[in-house]
Amino acid sequence: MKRFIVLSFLLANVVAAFACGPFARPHFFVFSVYPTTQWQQVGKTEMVKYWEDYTGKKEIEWEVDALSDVNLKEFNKSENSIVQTALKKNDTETINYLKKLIQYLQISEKLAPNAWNYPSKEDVAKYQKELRDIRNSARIYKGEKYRPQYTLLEMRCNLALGQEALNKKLWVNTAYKLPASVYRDMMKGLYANALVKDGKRDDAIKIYGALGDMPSIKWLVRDKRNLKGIKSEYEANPNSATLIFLVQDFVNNAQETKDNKEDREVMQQVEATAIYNDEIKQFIEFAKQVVSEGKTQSPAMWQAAAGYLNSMLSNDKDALTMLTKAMQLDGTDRMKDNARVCRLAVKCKHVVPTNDYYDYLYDELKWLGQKAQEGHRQGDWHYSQMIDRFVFDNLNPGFMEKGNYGLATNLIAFAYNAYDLFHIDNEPFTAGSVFWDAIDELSADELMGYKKYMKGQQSTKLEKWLASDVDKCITDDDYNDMIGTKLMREGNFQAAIPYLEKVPLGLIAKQGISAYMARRDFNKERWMGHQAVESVNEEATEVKTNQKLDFCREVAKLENAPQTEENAYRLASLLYQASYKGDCWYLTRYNVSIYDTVRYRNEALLISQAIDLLKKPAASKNFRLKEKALYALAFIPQGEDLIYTDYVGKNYTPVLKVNKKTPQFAEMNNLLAFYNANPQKVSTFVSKCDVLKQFKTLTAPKKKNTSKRRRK
Amino acid sequence: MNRLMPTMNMQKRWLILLFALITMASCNHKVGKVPEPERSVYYWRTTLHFDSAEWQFLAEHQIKKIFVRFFDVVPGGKEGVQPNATLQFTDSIPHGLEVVPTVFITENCLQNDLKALPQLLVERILQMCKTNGIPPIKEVQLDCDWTANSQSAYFHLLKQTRTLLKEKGIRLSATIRLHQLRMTPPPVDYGALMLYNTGDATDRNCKNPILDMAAIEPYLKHLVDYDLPLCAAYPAFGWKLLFAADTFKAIAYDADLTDTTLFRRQSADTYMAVSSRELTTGPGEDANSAHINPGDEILVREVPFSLIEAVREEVASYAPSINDQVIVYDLNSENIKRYNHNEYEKIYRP
Repeated sequence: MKRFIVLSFLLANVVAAFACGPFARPHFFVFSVYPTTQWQQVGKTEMVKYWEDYTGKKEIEWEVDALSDVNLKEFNKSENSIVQTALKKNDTETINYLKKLIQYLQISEKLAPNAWNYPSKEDVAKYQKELRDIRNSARIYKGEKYRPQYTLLEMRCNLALGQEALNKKLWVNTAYKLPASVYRDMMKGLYANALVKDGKRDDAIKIYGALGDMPSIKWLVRDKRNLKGIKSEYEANPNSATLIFLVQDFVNNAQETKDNKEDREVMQQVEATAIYNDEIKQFIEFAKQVVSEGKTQSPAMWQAAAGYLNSMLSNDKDALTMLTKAMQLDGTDRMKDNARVCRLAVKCKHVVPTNDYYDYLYDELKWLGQKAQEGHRQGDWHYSQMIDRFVFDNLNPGFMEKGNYGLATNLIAFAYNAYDLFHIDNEPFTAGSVFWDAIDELSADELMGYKKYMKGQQSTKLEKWLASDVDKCITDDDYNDMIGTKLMREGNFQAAIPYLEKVPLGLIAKQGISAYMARRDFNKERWMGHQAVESVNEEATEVKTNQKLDFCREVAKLENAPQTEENAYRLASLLYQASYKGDCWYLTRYNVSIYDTVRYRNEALLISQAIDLLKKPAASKNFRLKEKALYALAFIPQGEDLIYTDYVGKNYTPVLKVNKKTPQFAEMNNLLAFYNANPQKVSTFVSKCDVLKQFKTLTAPKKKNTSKRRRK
Repeated sequence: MNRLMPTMNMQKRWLILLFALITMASCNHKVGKVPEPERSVYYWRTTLHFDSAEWQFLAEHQIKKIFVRFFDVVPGGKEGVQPNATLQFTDSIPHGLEVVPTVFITENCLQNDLKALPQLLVERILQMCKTNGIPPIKEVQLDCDWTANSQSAYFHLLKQTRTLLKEKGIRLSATIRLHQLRMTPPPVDYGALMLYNTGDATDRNCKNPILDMAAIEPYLKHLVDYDLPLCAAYPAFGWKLLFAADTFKAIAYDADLTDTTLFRRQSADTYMAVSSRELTTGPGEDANSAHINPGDEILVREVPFSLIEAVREEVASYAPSINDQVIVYDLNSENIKRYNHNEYEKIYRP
């Protein structure tokens, strides 16, 4: 599950449709006949890039955003690097444009309806005059360099002045002739806004559709987002631009309902409206009717919608027939591609390890990968999201279930690569990446199997193709380190030694865990003190020895030695330190959190083993050994917290209480009894233990009620 | 009781008389009255615009005060809290009507640093009045569903705001929800007791979520010694509650229950959907939408006039002057049709 969460966070800026928030698998919509280009985001990137090129500086998005903070009265003293660069270049044209832009941005902020500073009548009049002045400057600009920017500025001023009709004229007469750019797209959006005001909804929807501005379309057709609305729109005009959105919206809503397992409560929380089976069936019949009537120019879309919806009703055989046919029908290229993606979605639901299936996947995933690459160039992440959905929801679990760990794991690498976050064959095997996490989750045996698979056991062209990308990024050192670590995690310390012996210290020095390995000592008992590592020291660092190897040798020695009380205590201390609760967690895993628990397949229960081992020295006649073991047992948290805060009474007064249900209660009681029996003899770590004192106070018998009335 | 009296000795009689006097004194607890009480309405939309029916209602019932929601305050922005859903003025205020700017503050705002808020609030309210040609105001009202957890922060905000307003000769009132009657009264000039939203609208078994005598009864005893003048706010609104079986989906503001292609009437207050549709679930620009499926039901919840009458009387028996100023929630052309002319007159009479 963790890998999914990591992926979600990594992609938070690029994915278009998180239907369910970052803590669940995103429900990427399969049916997509509109490009999902996030033009506002693409536009922002392009604008930032313009100023980056202009200033020669990188990552100045915040300075672009901060232009509205520039004090125009002290423009020449501004520290904004865009302004500074224009001044340094003595670039009058840019300086003039910047001044007008900044002035416009500042007026917009002041006129914002929800700003604290509500404008006065005089302010409104003044700002309107300033807007008209800016508009005039834009109109009289004679240059070429900032022509699109000035035209956009003029349209923005028109909008702010409530004169949208002027934007219609401006677009039709001038703006549309400007070269394609982000500015022209934004002007087109303002033109669409003017059309809406004019009652030309369908024309506006076409524009918003081409721009990928889904929120605007959604708002415009909010009263038609249902089967009845679709039918009435079709009756009015079978080729209405609105229908493309409405059909896509219907199918996506149906998918969202299915993805949420028709949970009504969840559906109330997400943006989609619930579509249930009865309505899906009615839609399928209507879509079939539309295709047969022949009035639509987009039968591919209707047929694909009916096909994909059929798969939601589990009629996968019919769905595949319909979707294959849809690919041959008329429609835009996007619609035909959409039918192909929908068909793949249905095929991915049923993983079957046959040659035909492998060949089909090879062709389709390769095609989808290419579409993803093309999409990236236009800011369209739909095809990447489809790879993500098919791999994580179907193919990876499907092939894992069939026992093909190699293919299942390499599919994750493919899905990760589909977002182009890094080219897996050019980068080292990076801890924390989704693919790395997938490898980390394998058991030692599975990873050994995976290594064999990667060294030549791929039998189909699909497997060979996927493996070829991954093969270069995992070295033998990586394998030895991870297999050794997994064997340790699984409690096979002796078996881990030959793998760990081959790991060079240089590899560990590159890993995040090296910061801890260099500063902590597994020989120290965890219950005697925490070995803190300051956050400033959390950078990867060189290590003098591979502690994993030293640890395994030490444990192996103890395991082969006589089972004395002393050896049991020592082994318990080592195992606890190597557990996820120990200071030396880095011996058995690559990352840890305070919420960690046993989370890997075959992971040994090191904490339980330590507790079992401590029972022997805890019963020892050796006073000091017994004392340490009892102390250790009382220290190790087991289950719920031993001491907790309860809130009682009307005022919710916090009161500390002891949890008698937790196993730690008995262990602390044993230590208390030992202390009570030997108050003078015990070591200071027992006599001065805060928790023990608190426990003693909280468990002390309450004094009898001594009110006067009782005494009578 | 009378038959026992002659057998009592003189000392006991005196004790009883003394007790009765003390009781009467506490019943006549004087906390002052609402200053300049007037017939009032709440205006709770995001665009200020009156249609002819609303104009007529205001004139017919001689409404003199209109509590206009100016904006909400929500968490966010540079100051930690920011205005939201600011009223857009597209109409002028009818002549002779006193405007009481009203601001709704969400309770979660009160966890923020509110040092700057009183000044920001007062300045914004006054500027909104000035910009939009509203005659000088005499009063501001703050509305917040505060609880014991937020009481201290809210009261501090009220104190500071009241001081700033007092300097300008403006008083401050606050809404009081029934559950707040159990706590110390807020530091304002008077309170408007909200006699609505008494039940859980999301529970389909709750027949009277807007106003229920049984729900308000437990709180009324607190009115006797409530240390703040109060006026009463009564509901004129109704709800169309959309349910899928027992699950509440939304308030369907725009559902046209006369549309027989969509609804079939099942009983006086229940309509069943017979086809699917997208419905608007919020007023004005804040509207969201909900999907209605065949089988879903709309439960109509309204308050019969007789209940308002009964509540009026019951509340007045604990706080005799509470109906000196009545505010009806809220003014819109749908709501003003809910009761007839005479009934509204009865609601408004002191």
